Parts: sequence; C-alpha cells; structure tokens
Amino acid sequence: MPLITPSSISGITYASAMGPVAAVAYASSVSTNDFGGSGAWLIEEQTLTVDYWRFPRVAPSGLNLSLSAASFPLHVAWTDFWVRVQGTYTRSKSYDIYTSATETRMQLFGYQADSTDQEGVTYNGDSTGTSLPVSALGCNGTVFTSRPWYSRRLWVDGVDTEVMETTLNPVHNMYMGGTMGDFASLDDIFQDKYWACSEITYEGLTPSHPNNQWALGMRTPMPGAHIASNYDPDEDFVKTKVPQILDLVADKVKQGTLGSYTSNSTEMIPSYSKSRHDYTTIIG
Amino acid sequence: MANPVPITPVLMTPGQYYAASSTSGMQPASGNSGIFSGPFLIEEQSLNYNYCRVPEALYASATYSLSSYAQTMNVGQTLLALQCYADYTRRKSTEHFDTLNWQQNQRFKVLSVSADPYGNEYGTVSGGTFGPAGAVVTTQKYYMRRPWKDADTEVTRTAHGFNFFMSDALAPYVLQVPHAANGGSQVYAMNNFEPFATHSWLRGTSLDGARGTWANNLPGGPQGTLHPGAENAVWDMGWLGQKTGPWMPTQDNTTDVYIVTDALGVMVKDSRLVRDGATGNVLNSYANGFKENHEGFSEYNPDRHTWT
Repeated sequence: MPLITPSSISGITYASAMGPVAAVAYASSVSTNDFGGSGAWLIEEQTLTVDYWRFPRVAPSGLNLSLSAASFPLHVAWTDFWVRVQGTYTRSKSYDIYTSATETRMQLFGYQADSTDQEGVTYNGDSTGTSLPVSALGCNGTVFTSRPWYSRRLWVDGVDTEVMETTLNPVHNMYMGGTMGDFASLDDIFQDKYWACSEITYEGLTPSHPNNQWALGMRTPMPGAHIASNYDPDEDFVKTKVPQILDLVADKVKQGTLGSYTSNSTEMIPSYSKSRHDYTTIIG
Repeated sequence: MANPVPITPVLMTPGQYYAASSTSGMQPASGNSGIFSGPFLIEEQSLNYNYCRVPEALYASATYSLSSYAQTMNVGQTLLALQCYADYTRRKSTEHFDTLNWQQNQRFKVLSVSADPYGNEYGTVSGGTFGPAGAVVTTQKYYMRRPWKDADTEVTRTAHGFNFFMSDALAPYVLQVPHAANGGSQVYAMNNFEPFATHSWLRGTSLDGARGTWANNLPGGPQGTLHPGAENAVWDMGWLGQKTGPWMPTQDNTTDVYIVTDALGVMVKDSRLVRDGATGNVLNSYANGFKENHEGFSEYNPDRHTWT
C-alpha cells in the first residue's frame, strides 16, 4: 500500500471531495505505517441551528376616548425576527482509521422557510405566485447546518484535550423582563401567538392570560430582518442576509451575549468560530 | 364639539336647614348689636372641589397577523378625578351675638356641566348629580360658636390636593408596587383622559428594549407633550365615584354626591390628598408617615357635612 504524504493544515483547507471515513474497522492489510496507524486523531466539529419567527410590531394610529367608548386603532408598523439558536462544538480523540493524514471541511447550511404565519395567513411573491420569492425567508423557518464543520489532524499528546461545548438551552435574541406569568419559557411565550409580542397585551390585560406581566425586549436584532409596514414577501430579502445573520449569531454565541448584555456561560460556546462557515449552499 | 353647559345647580339640602346644636333657628349674626359680647371661639370649615369623570379603557380582544392588527377596547369603569380645596379656621372673636352658642353644619351645591372635556355629551344630566364634570361648592360653611376658654387656641388650616398623582407611564411594572410620582401636575389630567384611560396598559418596556416607543407613538406626538418633561400615568390615593362599564348619566344619583364628598372629607382629615406636582413614592411615604407629598389636616371633620 502506497504511503500518502500528509498535507499541511496551515490555515483552513477546504477539502469537500474527501469525506471522513470514521469508525472503519482496522484492516490487517493496512500498514501500521499509515499516519501512525489508527491515530490518535484530534477531531473538531461544530454545528449551528437558527430557528426564526417573524413577528409583528404594532403602533397606534389614533386614540379615541370618551366616558362610554374607547378605541385605539393600531397598525403593523414593522415586522422583525425572533430567533432561537442552538449550537455545538466538540473536540474529541479518535483512533479510527482514515485514508488521509488531515482533513478539514467547511460548515454548510440549508434552510426551510414557511410562507404561512401563525394565524394561517399565507404570503407569496407577486412573481412567484404560490411560493416565496427566492430571496425571502418568509414567516418562520430554520437555517440549519447541513454539514458540520470538520477538522481532523494527528493528536498532540500533552497539548490537545477533549471538550464538548453547547448551550445549556436554546438561546434567544429576545429577553424577558418582569414575571413569566402562565409561561414557562420564552419559547412558550412566543409560540403561543403573536399577541405575546405586542405591548398592548402587556400587564395582564389579555383576557386569556390575566397573570402575565412582562417586558419583552430585543437584545440582538438580526441584520436585514426589520421590514417596515405589513409583511410583504416581495420586500423580504433576508435570505441574502443569512451570512451576516449567521456571522452575528456565531459571534454572540461565542461570547454568550445573544440574549444578554453580559456574557452568560449557559449561552456560550467559546470555541465556536464563524470563520468555519461556508454560505455557498444558501446564497450561491 | 359641543360646549359644556352648566346644569341648574341644586342645593343638596333643599328646603332643609340643619343646625344640630344651635340654640335657636336664627342665622349667626355678628356685629355690635348682640347682647353677648364674648369673647367667643368661632370654628369654620369649608370644602370645594372640581371633579371630572374619567374612563379606564380595557383591552378586550385582538386578532393579529404579520399584515394586519385589529383589536377592540371598552370602557371598563369610570372614576372621579378630584381637585380639592379645604379650609378650616378656629379663631377668637369679641363681636357681639344674640346667642351665646351657635352651630350650623356644612351644606353643598353641585354645579355639574353637560359635557366632558372633549365636548362629548351623554344625555340629560339630572340636577343634583355629578354628570361628566363640574364642581361641588360649600354653600354654607360649618360654623360653631361658643364662649372662649382660656385653653383655646387659634388655628388656620388650608389644603389643596388631588385624589391621584402623576407617575412615569413607562416605568417598568412590578406587580403590587406603585410607581413613583414624577412631578407632573395633576391639573393636566383633570382635563385629559389619556393618563387615566391608558395608565393600566400603557406602561412597560417596548419590545425592542427602547423605553418609550409605545407611548411616544401616541397621537399628538411623544408622551412628553401630554405634560412637559413627564411621561404621565396616574395612580390613585383612593378612587371615588366608580361606575362600572361605559358611563351614562342614568348611572348617577344624588347619593353619589353625599358619598364622594364625605369620603373626600375623610381624605382631607387623614391628609391623603396628594399635593400638586408630587414626587417620589407617594403611597409608601404615606404609609410610613412621611407626608411631604400629602395635603390635609386633622381638624377637618366630615361629620359636619349635612345631607338630608
């Protein structure tokens, strides 16, 4: 069996054509001279998933008061993104057999977008008719890691360590002040319906949720997600902003500051790096 | 907009004259012609107040989507905002009177108008009832005269206050913890419904974390225009004249005037009126004996009011 010369891993090498062949059983025909035999290897991986929901922000159009009637006309002033993020980073030691000395693969992403909002209203592009425009991320959906970032090299004794970093729970770019009332988590609040995003229901005046007093705030706005007025998918170019969104989310998750001003260890993945992202599968 | 017109005043004790411990039916006559020269102790008290019925609007229901928003609201209850003036004197007199002792209780008149501050009319307002706004005035002061005793002292008291105060509409809400007064004048709220109608749901931090976004979008510009330099909501020191639901004149009756005026007298007596432009934690400071935001005096006695 020919000996393959190990390649350098200075910088980040994109080697998409070479997939890792992990957990291959040791074969007697394989020379133990191949890359030190079965390793040991240091393998790094990272993933990121961003769930998003577009929510409406309403603003007053007027205020009409008398002793016998009250009205407070409102309109959708803009819509924006509430995101929920989960990520992982692992650094592990492996004795599997590989056919190359090193390997690095960039992290690729895919997305699923829904054109129907939580109230069942569907939004399609004028030109596309029955679907979202190609540039739109729609009413809600997920940007997910379709292929984790992967790096393998020879293990260095006394230097390398194994580690697993992940957020304790999904982290949000929104935060909650006040009491949670009937809800157990931010997920509960938002996914209940849009009314939870509107201050008009603030302070327990919502008939179905009289015990809620909260203050919802946005800590980290997503680039390009703020769209003025009623949602119009033809004005939605958020998919083109996915690189900025994922870069921002990556930095915030690395720092633990997506949902808080100060670093929060339960929301932190210190070893996560946006430099491992490859966005070609999202925006071409 | 209709102009409010005065409702014919009604004396609250029509055809009655109450002199609980007077020695005769004669009016107290001062001057030099009486047979008793004193000295006398003369006690007087009066109470006058402006009132405005104000609505509390409640959120009823809403439908949302990313492209539309519709909601309904209703008037959950109406209340009386009160601006009160109270006076009390106890003085020594050497005038001559025809009687040695005299006492007559305090009598009132309601001067109601037909429309709210926005010119809205709600139907016929019966005489002797509050209606949407107006004033209650003392038509006859409480008066008591008796011979002066050596231990007697002269006293003059006055109070001007409200049954509510202005607070920061946008302060973070904490259940059961009242807001601090923000120094805004209550006079504004006597003629504008917004601070009352919206105080229960206008407070809070906006969704994007920028305080004031919501209230600052009120018609007419930022909330600060409601009262210069302040974001106003109201907190009460004791709402009076509560009526459930949308208000109509038929909800009012003359008994309301007795009840509210007597209760206001108790607020004067207990120093629970809030001074104009109060600042700080009004409710807690009252509970803890710090009365710097409060108006009133213990000499006022609502038992001297006469309602027949």
